[in-house]
Amino acid sequence: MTVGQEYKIIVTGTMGAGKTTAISAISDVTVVSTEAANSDQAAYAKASTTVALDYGEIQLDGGDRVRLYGTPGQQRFSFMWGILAKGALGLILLIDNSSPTPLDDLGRFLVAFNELAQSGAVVVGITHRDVSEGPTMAQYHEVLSSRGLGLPVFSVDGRERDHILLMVDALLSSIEAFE
Amino acid sequence: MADKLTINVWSDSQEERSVVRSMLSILSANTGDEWHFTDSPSADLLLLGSSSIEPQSAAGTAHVVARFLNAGDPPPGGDTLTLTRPLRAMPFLDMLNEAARRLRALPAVQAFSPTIDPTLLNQFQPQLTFAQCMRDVRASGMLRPFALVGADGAELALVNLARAAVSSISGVGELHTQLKTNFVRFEPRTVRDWEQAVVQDTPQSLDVLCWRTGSSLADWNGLVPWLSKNEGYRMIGWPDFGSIGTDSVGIKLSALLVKRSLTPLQLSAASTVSFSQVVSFLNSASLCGLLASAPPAQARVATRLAPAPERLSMIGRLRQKLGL
Repeated sequence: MTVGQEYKIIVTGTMGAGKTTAISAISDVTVVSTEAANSDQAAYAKASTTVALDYGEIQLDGGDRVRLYGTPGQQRFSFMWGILAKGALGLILLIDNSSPTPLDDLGRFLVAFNELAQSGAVVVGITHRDVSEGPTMAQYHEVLSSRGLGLPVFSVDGRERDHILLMVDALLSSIEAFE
Repeated sequence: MADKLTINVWSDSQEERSVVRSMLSILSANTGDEWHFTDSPSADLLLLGSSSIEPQSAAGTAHVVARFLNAGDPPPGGDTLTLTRPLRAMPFLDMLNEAARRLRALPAVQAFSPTIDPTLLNQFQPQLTFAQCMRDVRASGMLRPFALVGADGAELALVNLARAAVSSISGVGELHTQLKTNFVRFEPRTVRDWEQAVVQDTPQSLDVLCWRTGSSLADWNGLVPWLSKNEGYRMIGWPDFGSIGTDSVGIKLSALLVKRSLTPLQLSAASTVSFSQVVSFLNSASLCGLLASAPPAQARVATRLAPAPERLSMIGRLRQKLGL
């Protein structure tokens, strides 16, 4: 029996940005989630949040699989980010535009996932732009260009499968263009 | 005469924003002007509460920038206005009055009229006047609100470059159609004008309007007059396809052009996308302010850059699986 190749895409970002929902939108399997009661209501008011990781996968012809890992969004779980990112094909980064400091959040994640960002295998989705004024898209581009990064940045709704597919499409195109 | 002026606060602290807002509502009547709090980045006065933001980064959006300082902080260079924490009424009033004085001393915001050679225009190309005004406004670095005014003086829409938004009664789709038959110029408006307009009309993405205009200009005119098929171009940022709408060809071309500079013909060859689609993409990217001239990389354009076969196969199957 031939064992297929395995690839890995990481979905990360701020708490409440929609990481679990994004993985659910494209996973072939029911997403395995490690949700627990949210003890950080001050940071984001929702009942539960991911505390270890979310897991989904896409099964390809030939037995290959693309594993989808969602990281916990809270800073105190940042020690896991590097572990999960090791060997990853690419990264989908979701930033909640309605958070108090979304530009700083973006900068923080770019530092944490610097290796992937420098390789161009990162796509940034800005969520909740419809519910808050927040920074403009130009300001997000400035954060990227100040680090010499030309990554795709899109306004997205994490609940919309089309928007998740848009990010995956851009991620794959970026990987192809960088090869 | 009292001016209607706007102030915004960029701060990590919501409390600090609230304090400024409250104090403004109490003290505004004691200034010679009518001050309003706004969330717009193109406010008349921008008060920076975070030390991580440099005043220069706000230049071009707000007209006057002030910075919060903690007691004992060294003053910033230049003539940046300052306000020391904790916020007190008299220094705040003094700062507002000085900001108003500086605002009145600024030169008037210019209007933008198309400078296109009339012989280049035909009955199908009035939208080229919008395109040229948009290009000139972006080149000026001016991010203030503008009105799109037709040849008959009618105001078609308001544009807010700082928020990349457009407000019109008819919506972006109808506005795009109107621009096909209306020669327009841009006239300056205030942030207050913008805020009053968007109470009635939900603002929509300016990128959507620019993208559609660039595309329809390609149908009639090929490349817009300021682009050349022999010149190299590079993307300085990705289009927001989340607002514009998913565009697989646009994604493919953006991914290539953000990495390297190519002429339109080279881009078509490297991407295997038709030249007419490349023209449409370049027009639209230019109107969205995302395209910069750069010498093309001669050596790398003849062939498509191929990923490792194994990964190419996987990416291809993943695209197929997801219907991309």
